[in-house]
Amino acid sequence: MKILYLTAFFVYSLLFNIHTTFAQENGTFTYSGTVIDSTNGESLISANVYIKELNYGSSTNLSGYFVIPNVPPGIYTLICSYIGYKKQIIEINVTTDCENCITITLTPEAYETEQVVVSADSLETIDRLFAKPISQIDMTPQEINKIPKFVEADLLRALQTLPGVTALSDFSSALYIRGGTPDQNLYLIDGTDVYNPEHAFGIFSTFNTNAIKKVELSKGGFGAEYGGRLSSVLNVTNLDGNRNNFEGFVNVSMISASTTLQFPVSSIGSISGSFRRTYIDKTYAKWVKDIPEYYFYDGNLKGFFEFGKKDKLTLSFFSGKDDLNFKVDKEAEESLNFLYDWGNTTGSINWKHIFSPKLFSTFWLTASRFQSNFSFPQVNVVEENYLSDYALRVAFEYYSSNNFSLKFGAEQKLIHELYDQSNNEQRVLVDNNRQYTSGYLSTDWRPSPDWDIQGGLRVSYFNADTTFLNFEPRASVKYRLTENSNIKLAGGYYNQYLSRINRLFFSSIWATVNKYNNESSAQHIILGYQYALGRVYEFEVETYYKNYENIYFFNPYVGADIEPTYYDDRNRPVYASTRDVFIGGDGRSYGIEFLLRKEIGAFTGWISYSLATTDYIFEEINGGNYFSPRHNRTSIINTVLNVDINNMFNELSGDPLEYSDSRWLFSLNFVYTTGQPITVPSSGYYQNRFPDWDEIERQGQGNPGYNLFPAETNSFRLPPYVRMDMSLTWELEYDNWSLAPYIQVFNIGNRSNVWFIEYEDRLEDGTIVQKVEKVNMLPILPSLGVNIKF
Amino acid sequence: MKLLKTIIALAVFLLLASCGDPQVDITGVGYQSKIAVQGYVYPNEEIKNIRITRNFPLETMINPEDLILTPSKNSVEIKVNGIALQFDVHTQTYYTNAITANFGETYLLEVSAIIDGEQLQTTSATTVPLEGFSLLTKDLGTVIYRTPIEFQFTPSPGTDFYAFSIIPDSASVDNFIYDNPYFPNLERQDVEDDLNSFRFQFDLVINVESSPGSIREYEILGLDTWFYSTYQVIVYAGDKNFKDYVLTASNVQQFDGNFIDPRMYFDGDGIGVFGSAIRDTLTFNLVAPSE
Repeated sequence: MKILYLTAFFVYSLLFNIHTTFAQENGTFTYSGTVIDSTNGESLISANVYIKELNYGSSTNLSGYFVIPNVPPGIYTLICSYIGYKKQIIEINVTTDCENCITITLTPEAYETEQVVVSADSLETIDRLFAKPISQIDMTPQEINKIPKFVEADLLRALQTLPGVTALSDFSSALYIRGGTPDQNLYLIDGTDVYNPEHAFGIFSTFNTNAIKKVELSKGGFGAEYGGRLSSVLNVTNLDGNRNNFEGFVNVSMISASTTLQFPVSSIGSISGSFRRTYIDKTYAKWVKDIPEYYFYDGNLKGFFEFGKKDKLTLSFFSGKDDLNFKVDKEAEESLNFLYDWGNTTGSINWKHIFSPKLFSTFWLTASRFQSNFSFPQVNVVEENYLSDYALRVAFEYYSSNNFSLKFGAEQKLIHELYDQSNNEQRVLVDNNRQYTSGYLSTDWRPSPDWDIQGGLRVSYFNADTTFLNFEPRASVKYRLTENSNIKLAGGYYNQYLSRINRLFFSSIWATVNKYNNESSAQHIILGYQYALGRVYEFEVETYYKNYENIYFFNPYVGADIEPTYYDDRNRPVYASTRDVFIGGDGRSYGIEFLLRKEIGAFTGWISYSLATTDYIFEEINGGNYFSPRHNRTSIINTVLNVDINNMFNELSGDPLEYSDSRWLFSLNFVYTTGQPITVPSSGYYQNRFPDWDEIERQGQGNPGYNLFPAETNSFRLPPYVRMDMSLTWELEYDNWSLAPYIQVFNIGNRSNVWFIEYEDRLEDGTIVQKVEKVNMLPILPSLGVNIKF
Repeated sequence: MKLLKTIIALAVFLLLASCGDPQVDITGVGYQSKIAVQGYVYPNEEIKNIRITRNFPLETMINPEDLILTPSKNSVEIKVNGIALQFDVHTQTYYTNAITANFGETYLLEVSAIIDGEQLQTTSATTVPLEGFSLLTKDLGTVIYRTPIEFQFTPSPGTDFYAFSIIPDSASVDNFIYDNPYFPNLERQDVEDDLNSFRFQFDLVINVESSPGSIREYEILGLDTWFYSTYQVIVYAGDKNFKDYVLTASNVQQFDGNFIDPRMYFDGDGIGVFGSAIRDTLTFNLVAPSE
C-alpha cells in the first residue's frame, strides 16, 4: 500500500502544483488537440503533428490526443499526417494555452503515392520510425485482413508473420516472441488483461478483427508503463464507434459469421458492437458423424461518450465462449462423452480527463475473468477453473516542455485463482486470492531533435502466501544517425507473477507465484537500426539478448512427485498448492532480425528474416544441461505481399494510382522456418507394464509392452517448415456499400509439414517390425468468404 | 516490368519451395545399448522371474529370441545382494532359491552383460514395503454389469502407491460386452482388432492415506470391464521404483507428441524396473443384467 500512497501524493503534487509552475514557461504556450478520422470520428493513434516553422511536434497518444508545449506566440503552419490519410496543413495562431483546442480531421486517401509523400514531407517515414518505440510493430485491421487467412481473419495468426514472432504449429495461434512463451505476453484489450485469448483449442484467437482500431505489438524493451510479463505486450485498441453515421460490417466465412455495427449517439458519442459465432454445430456436425458438437462466439460492446473537450468516457464489455459436447457416438443414447466450455469475460470503465493542456490522464476500472468447466461423467471427473482480476489503474502523461515529458501511474489489482478438479480418487483444489500493486514513472527527454532518451522505473509488489517486491528499471535511447536513419538502444528488467500450464487442446491453467515458486524475471537489451529507403520503404534491423530466471514448465512427472496437502473426509488426497506442479529453470534468447516493409502503393507488404537461439537449463531436464525448447527456430523468413492488381502497372510505370470502385487484390504469405527441435526415441525395448502382464507374447496388437527410450532432449530437428498461402479478393463498391468476396488457399503447395512423430511395432512372420510415422500439420485448405460493408 | 517479372519469378520460386513431403529419418539417433531389467521382489517369496532383455535401434527387424540376454549368448552375470542368480531356460528368466524376501528390506541388483560386443553393467536397489497391505474382501462373488464394483483395503504404512491390474479370465469377441454405454455399436471385427486393448485394464492410485489403521475404499469403473467373465484383479502396493516405472515408462510421449525421459532408478547402463511390491488378488464374476 505504500506504493499507492506515494503515487497518490505524487499525483496530487503534479495535479495541483507542478503544472501551474511550468505554465507559460518563458512566455510560451502549450498547444494541444485531437486527431480524428473525418469519416467516422474515430481518434487516430500515433498520428504525426508538428509545427513546420519550429520543426518540432508530437504524435497522438492512444486517445488521439497530442500536446506541443513551449510554443512562442505567433502564427504557424501545423502539419498533421497519418499513413493512409490525406495530410492536413493548417494555419494556427497561438496566443494562449490551449486545452484540446483543435480537432484535426484527416480524410482517408484511397491511394497515397510515392510522389505525394515525397513532395509533402520528405522526412515522414523516418520521423514515423523515430517516433516508434524500439521493437514495436503496429498493425491496422486493414493490414490484418489483407494477409491470407486460415479460414478466419485472425489477429494472432497475422502477427505470426512478423519477424521474431513464431508459431508452434498450424494448430496454434499462440505467439512465441523472441524466445518467450505465450504466457510471457501481456494481452490488453482497451487496457484490460485477457488471459487465454484463444478459441477452438488454440486454433483461433478471441480478437475479432472487425472491431479492432489499432494493434501495437512490443516485442521487448517496453517502457515502465507496462509490467507483469517477461517478454512482450500486445495492446489492442478497439473501435470507439462511428460518430457520424450508422455503419455496419458483415463477414461470412465457411465456419462463422460476424457483424460489427456502429452508430452515433446524439453528438456526444457512439456505440459499437461486434458479434461472431461459428456454425460448425449447425452445419458440418449435423452432416458428418465424426465432427463433434462445437461452437464458439465472442462479442463486444463499447460505448464512447465525450463530455466537453476535457472528458471522455468509455464503457467496454467483451465476452467469448467455446462450447464442446463430445460424444463418441452422437446417435447413440449412451456413449462416452464429455462436456467442456471455456471463455473470457472482460469489462472496463475508462475515463480520460485533461487536467491542463500539459496533463492528460486516464483512469480504468477493469474486470477480467477466464473460466472453464469440464465434466467427464463416466470417470467421475469434474473440473472448474477460473482466473479473475479486478483492477484500478491510473495513468498520467505530463508534457513539461517540448523536450521533456513524464508518464506515471499506478495499478492495484486483486486476483482470484481457482482450480478445482475431483474424481473418485483425489481432489485438486487451489483457491487463492492475490494482490498486485505497481507504480511507475517514466521520463522522456529530447535534448535535441536528434536525441530521445527515455528512462523509467516500475515498482511491483505481489502479495501471495509470501510477498514479492521488485524494482524494474527501464531505459531507451534513440538517435537520428543521418537524415534517413536512426539508431536505438533499449534495456530493462521485467518480472512476472503468473505462470501458465499449457494443455494441448484444453485451455491453459494459470497459477500465481508462491513461497515455493518465486517470481520469474528477465532482462532485455536491444539494439536497433532503422533506415528509410527510397521514401516508401522501411528497413529495420534489431539485435537482442534476453535472459530469464525462474521460468516454469508444467512438471511432466507431477504424478510421481506431487504430495497431498491434506486428506478429505472421504480419505482422498487433496492438493491445495502448486508446489509440485511446476519445474523451474533459467534460459536465454538472442538473435537478430531484419525487416523490409512497404506500406504505400499498389505493392505493399514486408519481407523479414530472423536468426535466433533460445536455450533453457532445468535441473530436471536433459541431465541439467542446456537444451532447445520446441519453439526455438534458428532461421525464419516471412514474406507478405499484397498487390492491388488494378494499379500494379501504374506503379511499375511510375503513373499515379487510380481509384476504382471495382478492384482486385491479391495477397501472398510465405513462411520458412528451421525445423522444430524435438526429442526422438533412441531405442525401443519390451517390458511388461505390470508384473503379471506378459507382453512379449502379445506383440502386434495394441501392445502396451513396446516401450521407447528417448534420446537427448530436443536434440533432433524436424524438416524445415515451409508454407505459402494466397488469397484473391474482389472489392466492389456501390454508393456507401461495399462487397468483397474472397477465396483463399492455406498451404497452397500442400507441403507435408511435420508436426511430430509416432511409432508402432508389429509382429510380421515372427519378426518384430517397427515403423516410424510422421504426423503432419494441415494440408492444402481452400476456403471462401465474403465481407459486406454498409 | 522488370520488377513485375522479378516478383512473379520470386513467387513461383517460393511456391515451388513450399511444396513437398519431407521425410524424417531418425534411425540410430542417439542409440546406446542398454540392459533392460524387469524384476520385482515380493515379500515371503524367493527372488524369481527376473527378465533381462536389451534395447534395440528403431526401425530394425528384431527376432524375439534375440531380446532375451542369456549367460551363454551375452555372458550375463546377475546377483542380488551378492548372490548369483541362475538362468531358467524354460521361462527365460533368472532366479535364486537362496533368498526369500522380507518386508522392509532392501535388495541390490547387479547385472553385467555383453551387448553388441560391448561390456555393460548396471545396478539398482529396491526396498520392499512394510507389512500391512491387504484386501479386506478377496471375492466379490457375482457382480451385475453396471452396478458398482467396490471393495476396501488396508494400506501398508508409508506406501502410498497402489496399482490395479484388471484382467478377465476369458476375453474374446463372443463374451465382449457390446451393449456398453461407452462405445455402443462396436462390430465384432472392431473388437477383434483391439482385443488386447479391451482385455488388459489397469488403474493407479497415488498418495493413498497410509497411516496405520486407515482403510481405503476403491471402485472399479465400468471402463475397466469389457467382458462377461470371471476377473482377477491383482492389487500391488508398490515401492517408489515400481510407482515411477508404472507412471512414466509408458508415458514418455507427451500429448504434444514430444518425448520425455522416464523415471528409472539404475546406475550404469540399465533401463526398466527393479521394484518391489506386496500383492493381493480380488476375484469377481461379471454377468449381464437379467432382461
